[in-house]
Amino acid sequence: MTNPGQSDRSFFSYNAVNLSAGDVARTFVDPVAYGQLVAADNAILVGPRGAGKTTLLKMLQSEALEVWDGESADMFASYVKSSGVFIGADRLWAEQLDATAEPIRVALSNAAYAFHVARSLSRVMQFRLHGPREGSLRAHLRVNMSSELEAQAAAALSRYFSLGGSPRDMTGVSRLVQRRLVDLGGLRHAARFDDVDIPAWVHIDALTAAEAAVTEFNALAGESEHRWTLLFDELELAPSELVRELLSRLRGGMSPINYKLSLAPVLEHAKLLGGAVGAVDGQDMDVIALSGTRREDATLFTGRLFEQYFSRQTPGGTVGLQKLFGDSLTDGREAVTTDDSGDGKLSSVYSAKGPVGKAMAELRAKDVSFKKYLDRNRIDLAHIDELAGSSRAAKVRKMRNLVVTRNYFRGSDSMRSRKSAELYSGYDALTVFPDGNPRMTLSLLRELHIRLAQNLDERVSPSQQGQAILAVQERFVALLSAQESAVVRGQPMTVLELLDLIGGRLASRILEEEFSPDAPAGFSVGRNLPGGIILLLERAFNAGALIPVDGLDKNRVLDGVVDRKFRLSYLLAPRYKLPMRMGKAVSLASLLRNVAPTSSPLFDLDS
Amino acid sequence: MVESTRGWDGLLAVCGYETRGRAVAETYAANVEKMAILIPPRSEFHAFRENRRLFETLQAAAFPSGHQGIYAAITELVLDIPLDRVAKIIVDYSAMDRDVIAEVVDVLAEVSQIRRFSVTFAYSVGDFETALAEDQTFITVNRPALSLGGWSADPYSPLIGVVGLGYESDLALAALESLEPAQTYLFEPLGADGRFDEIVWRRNESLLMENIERVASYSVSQPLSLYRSLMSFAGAMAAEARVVFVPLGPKVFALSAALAALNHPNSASMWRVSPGEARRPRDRRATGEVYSFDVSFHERLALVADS
Repeated sequence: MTNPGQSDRSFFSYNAVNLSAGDVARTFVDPVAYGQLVAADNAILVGPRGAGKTTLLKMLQSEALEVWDGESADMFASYVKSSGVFIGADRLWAEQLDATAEPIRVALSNAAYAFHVARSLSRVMQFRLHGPREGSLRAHLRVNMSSELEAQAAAALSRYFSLGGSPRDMTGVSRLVQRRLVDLGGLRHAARFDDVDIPAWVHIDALTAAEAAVTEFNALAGESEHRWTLLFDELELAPSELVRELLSRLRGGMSPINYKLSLAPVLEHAKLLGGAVGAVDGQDMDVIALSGTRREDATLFTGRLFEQYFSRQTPGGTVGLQKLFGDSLTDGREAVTTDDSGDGKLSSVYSAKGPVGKAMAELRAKDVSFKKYLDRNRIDLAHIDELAGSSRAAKVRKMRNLVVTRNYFRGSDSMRSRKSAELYSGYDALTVFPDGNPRMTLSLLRELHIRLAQNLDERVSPSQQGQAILAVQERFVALLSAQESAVVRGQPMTVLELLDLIGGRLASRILEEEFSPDAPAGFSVGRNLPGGIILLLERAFNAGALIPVDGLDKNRVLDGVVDRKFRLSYLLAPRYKLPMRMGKAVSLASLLRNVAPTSSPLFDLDS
Repeated sequence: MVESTRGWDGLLAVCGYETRGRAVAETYAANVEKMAILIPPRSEFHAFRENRRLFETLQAAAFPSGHQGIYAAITELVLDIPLDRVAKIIVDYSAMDRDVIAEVVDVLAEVSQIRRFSVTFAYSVGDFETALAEDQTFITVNRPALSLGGWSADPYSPLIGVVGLGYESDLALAALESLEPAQTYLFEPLGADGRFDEIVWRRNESLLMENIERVASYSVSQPLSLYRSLMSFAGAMAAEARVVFVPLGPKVFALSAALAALNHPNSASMWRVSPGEARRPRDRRATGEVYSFDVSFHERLALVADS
């Protein structure tokens, strides 16, 4: 067995943007969203950092589909009938474009993006014509073209994108693009000091040029009906003019190009566009949310990542993950659904000798309010088996995670900080903890790997699992610490400070106040909260710390945080000693009233 | 150390709230013809009044600290010097924030298209201040440095993050989280005070351990050596990657990064992450040590002339 430092880089690379399509494919596990993305003609993929947006888009490229060896790879490769063109961006580049002197900023940004599209197109055309065959498990949308025809296709690309040359092949196109981008840099620099004349080649309509170029390529390849899909990643980094143009193109039409876009949940552009993003949802495109929907799918997906990872550690063998990590004290189902209907019968873990039964008995002994609740509802822990099929059985099942968490943290050693994360150990809980976030799942796998016995025969103890959980939480908290602050009522405040207030208050309601099975699990965001708080909530949402629990209303996916309901990510559950559970949401203003750290209350408005 | 017997045409400094901000001027006033100061906004804390009084006594001309103010200040210093003579100025960057350092470098490069400059960059070391390490980190600025944000001729080329570490590990993480570089190189400062080194190591331990194979240390007392390292790094990477410098910690890293970014405008850039206006003003006193190196500016290039 290898150690994580020696492991496959692609498995532990935290951002797929730094991996080739082939590297992404080698460790790809398809979530439900991938099928939705493949099936859609046009789509907007919405998710926080680490949700896997880049991976999903990269997996629509032929370069990835040819080397993916997953169980469903053949099927999906046959479904993907258009040539995917990945168009990435990063924050540095976006900021560089944005920092351009105002008179030429819009034109220069659009031109830079257009040349970027040209380069991406040329790369895909190059792959379709000459991509390497070794390692390929299946040919995907390859095409044959004579060198003369290729020269014509390259020349067309150059002409439509005003690249200013006559390349003989797609490599030549890339060189011309590079030259144009260097020229743009010179123009940008000159504009800092003087008025500059904008050359004609700067004024390019990227999407129209792309349509013309692929139409000509199709004609030369003898595939007039062939479709292409432009895959714009991190669209929040693109110039707003391009975003607006892209959204208008999503309405369909006769174009040979489809569009699949990835976005952060809260997007400045969406605000600028006045709801235009939501308005185009419907028959012309699908909005696919990677956060807050179908938690069962997210947990299942995390489990598949676990299985794939550990099967790689034992080639030819199998690893029993339940055996390796043991049972959980908490119930994974409770973390993903509020549906309390079960098969009627409470399992043996609830019996007097079972771990949950014991926890309930312990809590009854030390918590008068819990005892009163049991008495009031005529729940006799000594005869809990007799509750089978009754509504009381459903009540017991529904409060399991709440009760075991309350019991775990109440009492003489209630602040067992060093051991606190052990509550979240066990295979079921481990697959719930990352909250469907693949980047954090990989981080958890890395930490668990460090603590594995060499032969995978020995169980990973709850203590070791707790250490791994805390290490992942630390990484997630570091990410949250890295979010920009905001000014709230004249005082700077960080995202983490706000989350700590929320988490602390939720924990207080669950652990310290009178027992209630309906203690809040989340909160709703009203309109009257201070602007700085809304800003911090938006940043927390984009970072994956807030999970929407108000169901999937596609028209509202990009509406921001106001008038929505959230819970904290389970990745923060150990930090605040919270159960991983679904439940009702209370107003954030009321939750935090009188607990703000400053002398002037932050939340003096009801919402 | 700067030789105090040398003569300069002018001295540029910041009149801020740190006591050390006047140390270089006090020491070398007799050897400079003219002085100009930049006054940053929200400076009226701690030693600001004493600093202002000293610079007034020295008849320093005052300018705001933005790009135009810096341009005017440098122009003022060399106004009377014939264009065919190399202008010699000393820049005390001890109390400059990293945006101002970037702007000063950029303005010097800009003006060097008209005339040559020989610039002695002087850094007055601040004493160890425990409170600095205890301040909570707010992040309100997280973007390319003004003027030295660079340009990506190939946005698909891998991004290499080069972080100069300081107390503020949250700021380093914030920059890395925003930039998501393919690889990260860390430069760990070794100061004159072991307590500083220890805090920097402790604060950045997880980051250092994660990138253990890509950690270099540098001595604050040897700015020239650091500058050469960063220049070599940017030069070696220029053909195949983009380099983004994230200067935290001692300002000698910020200056070296700014000079390296200036010389590689199509592949290297400087990133600024900071508490901005949320920063709590802390005074720093000078230990008495001044480190410097000389840079020649000519036609927008910065060349090390001497040390």
